[in-house]
Amino acid sequence: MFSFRRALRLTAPSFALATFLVAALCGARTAAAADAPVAFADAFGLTFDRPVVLAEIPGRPGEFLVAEQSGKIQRVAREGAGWRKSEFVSFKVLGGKRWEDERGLLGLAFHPRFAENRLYYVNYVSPLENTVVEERRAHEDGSRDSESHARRILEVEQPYGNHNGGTIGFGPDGHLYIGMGDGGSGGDPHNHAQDPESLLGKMLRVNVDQRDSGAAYAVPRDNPFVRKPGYRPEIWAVGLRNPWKWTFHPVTGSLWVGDVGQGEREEISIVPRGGNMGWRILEADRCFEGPGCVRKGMVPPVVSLPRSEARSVTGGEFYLGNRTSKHYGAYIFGDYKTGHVWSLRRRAGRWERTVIGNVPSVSAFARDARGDVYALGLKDGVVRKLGL
Amino acid sequence: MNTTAPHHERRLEKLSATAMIPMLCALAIDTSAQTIPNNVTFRNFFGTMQFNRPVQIVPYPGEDSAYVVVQQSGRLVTVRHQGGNWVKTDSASFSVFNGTSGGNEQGLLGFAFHPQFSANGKYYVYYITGSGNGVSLIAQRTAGVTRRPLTADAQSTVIRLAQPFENHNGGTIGFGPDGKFYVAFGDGGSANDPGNRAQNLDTLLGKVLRLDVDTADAYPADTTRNYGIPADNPFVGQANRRGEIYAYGLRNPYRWSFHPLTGHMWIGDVGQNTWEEISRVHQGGLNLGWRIREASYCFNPSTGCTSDGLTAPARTIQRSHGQSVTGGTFFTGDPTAAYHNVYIFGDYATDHVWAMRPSGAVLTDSVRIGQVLNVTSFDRDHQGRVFAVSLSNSASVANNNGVVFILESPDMRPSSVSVRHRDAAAKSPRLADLLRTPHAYQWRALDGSVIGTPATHKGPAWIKPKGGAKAHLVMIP
Repeated sequence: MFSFRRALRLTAPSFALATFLVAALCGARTAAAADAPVAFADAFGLTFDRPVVLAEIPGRPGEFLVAEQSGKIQRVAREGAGWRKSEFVSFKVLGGKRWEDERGLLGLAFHPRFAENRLYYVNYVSPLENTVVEERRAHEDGSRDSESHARRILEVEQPYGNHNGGTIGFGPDGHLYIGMGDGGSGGDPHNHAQDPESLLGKMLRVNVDQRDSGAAYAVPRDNPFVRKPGYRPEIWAVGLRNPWKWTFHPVTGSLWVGDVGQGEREEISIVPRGGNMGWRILEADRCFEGPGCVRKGMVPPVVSLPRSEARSVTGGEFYLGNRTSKHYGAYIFGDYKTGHVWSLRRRAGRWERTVIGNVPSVSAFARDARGDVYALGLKDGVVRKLGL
Repeated sequence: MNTTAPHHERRLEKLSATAMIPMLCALAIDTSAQTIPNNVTFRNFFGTMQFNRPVQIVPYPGEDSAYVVVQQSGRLVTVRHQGGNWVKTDSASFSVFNGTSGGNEQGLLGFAFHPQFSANGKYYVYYITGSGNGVSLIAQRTAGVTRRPLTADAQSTVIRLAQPFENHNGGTIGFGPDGKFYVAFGDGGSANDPGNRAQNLDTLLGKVLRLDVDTADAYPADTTRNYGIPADNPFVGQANRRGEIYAYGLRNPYRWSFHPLTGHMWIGDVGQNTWEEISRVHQGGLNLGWRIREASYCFNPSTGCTSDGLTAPARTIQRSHGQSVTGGTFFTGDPTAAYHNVYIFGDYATDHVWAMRPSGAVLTDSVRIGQVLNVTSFDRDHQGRVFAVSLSNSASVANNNGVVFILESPDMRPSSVSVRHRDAAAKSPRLADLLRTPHAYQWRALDGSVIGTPATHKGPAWIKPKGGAKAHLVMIP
């Protein structure tokens, strides 16, 4: 497991920031400003076809990629006073083109050394209805894919159309994390999430810079189950239902996951190394399979949202923009169905959430290099910058 | 080589006219009644080996475990089974124009061995060269003593033809069972066939050509045309009609093949906006309809178009299922298998792979048997195994990750009667079963060429082997 110390070392430039953040998290601000309404301003004046990821291109401040679920990645850059989008790459994907289809192009991540090697990673549901995680290389001019390099990292068969995860990302340890849904249907009919031999319903962690014999990646030796018989060694954590959106805390390096619930509760959890996040025994903090379920060894959620507030949680991002804002260091997350957007802060030893706005069909949150947070609307195709 | 031409002619005559019809009646195991099972798996034939934009795989004549993989980006690669592993060796490379990115239709497109390659070392390539909109170049080359295509091999032009637009260049080249050399060119490109070339019998674009590359040059003064024109071609000697033309009315016949048993040509013709088309060419002179019709439907004029003299498609595929058809190949392995005499083809854009059975002039019993990303070719080896070539095994084309899949199914066994010529009397229970009832059969050399004439076996006895060379026994449907 990467320790807090190691995470801090890896994110050394942000040490000063850390001081601030810890202060913010500990409620050390001197005065509580009155709640001002949060502005959700159209960031680019552009619309996208079902946007699901926004990511600033490393080393190219002010240039972004937007992944569209229907299969394209658009590059967004300034043009005059406005913004212009251009096609970066296009994938033939299965589904992801209408209504509540959970397939299509779902994930995008840059290699930690992208500025040098131009490698980036995508997660999509292939025409064969498999989850494919693929390494690709950007063109030298940064404006598009190079079409010169595609390497399949992982291919996992998806038994049903829904619950395909989505986010992929590099941890502060430099390894690629892949969030896998339980395979879909309802109630995890094959118990994938608790099955140690299945990659479904898991958080995976692989090293894409090295390769084990006959594999497209190496399994990091410090993965929790590498020596445990009956476990796939790629597994970092088990018991997830559909970890659609997640992120690493920029200071502590801990993994914050929004795990979409079944019929009662939505869940935000901090996923530890080797953790069992509970599904399908638990739905967030409630017994799912029946009363009196065993909770021993299960990681409890940070937030368990009732149906009245949320029905398909969209994991968020940490706001690091304006240091004088009361939301500085807060976790900004939302719900796809109700459109609520919350700011989650730690106060007096408790997690406190306040609704700061509403974004219909909010699919994702993102943070740019300046620390500002964005919210993506799947159906209106608009990327909003939050005025926190 | 021109002395062999009459022999080829005779052979085709026998195959098509005399032998085939009674043989169809002689088929003991009637596979036509069986539905096509949807149980095919696609296995990466060369393990983890990947190619740079592969568009075709061709087995080496006389070898069971050696193949040429054609890479659109301009190189031929030899893959041979050595010491328990597949070993990839770079072979000839060509200065191609484009063909190195995305869905570009140029570059190196087709390859064929001469039927007597083992003896004469000749092979043929089709690539786009030049600049501007590109020039189609089909070249004859001669491999050295290694009998492997190398860059330094002597090259001469068979045909050189400037393309008016970048797209629609066709691709497949090859020899028919008659020993003649076939080429299919697209309509020149752009969209809607702006020059109406496919219907113009005075241009080679939008046509299937039938050439004789083993005889005297019909155009000795022309360096861009170095071949003979078979005297029995349909338009020979007609004013304003080119003698090379065998069939016309094609838009982009990217992939085509001969049925190994009937000798008919089956073409995948890429459509414009609405319909993809598979066509059967069972004789010379056919008009396959473009741009009068897109598959079966009026295109220009959009209504009230003629059907006079047009050959209807064997199969049409609508836009929601196919957007760029990749013509396929017939499985003709084990004659008792459900896949015997089944045509397997696909679509480059939608990645679907279908299996269908011919019934006269049409394809029936459609089954979608799987998907191959960016499928560029379906090819067959000497054992009758079927391969599907993926230009790029990614949902977004890249240049280094093409893959060759082999199609496997319990109902697609390699020929059970693929007995070696000299081992024909081997005690194969399947062969014994087959021979209890009358059967047509044909010996074929490992390179697929026909040995002797087809015959019908009439009783429960072993077929006597002929000659000493390695060969396969092929049952004829």
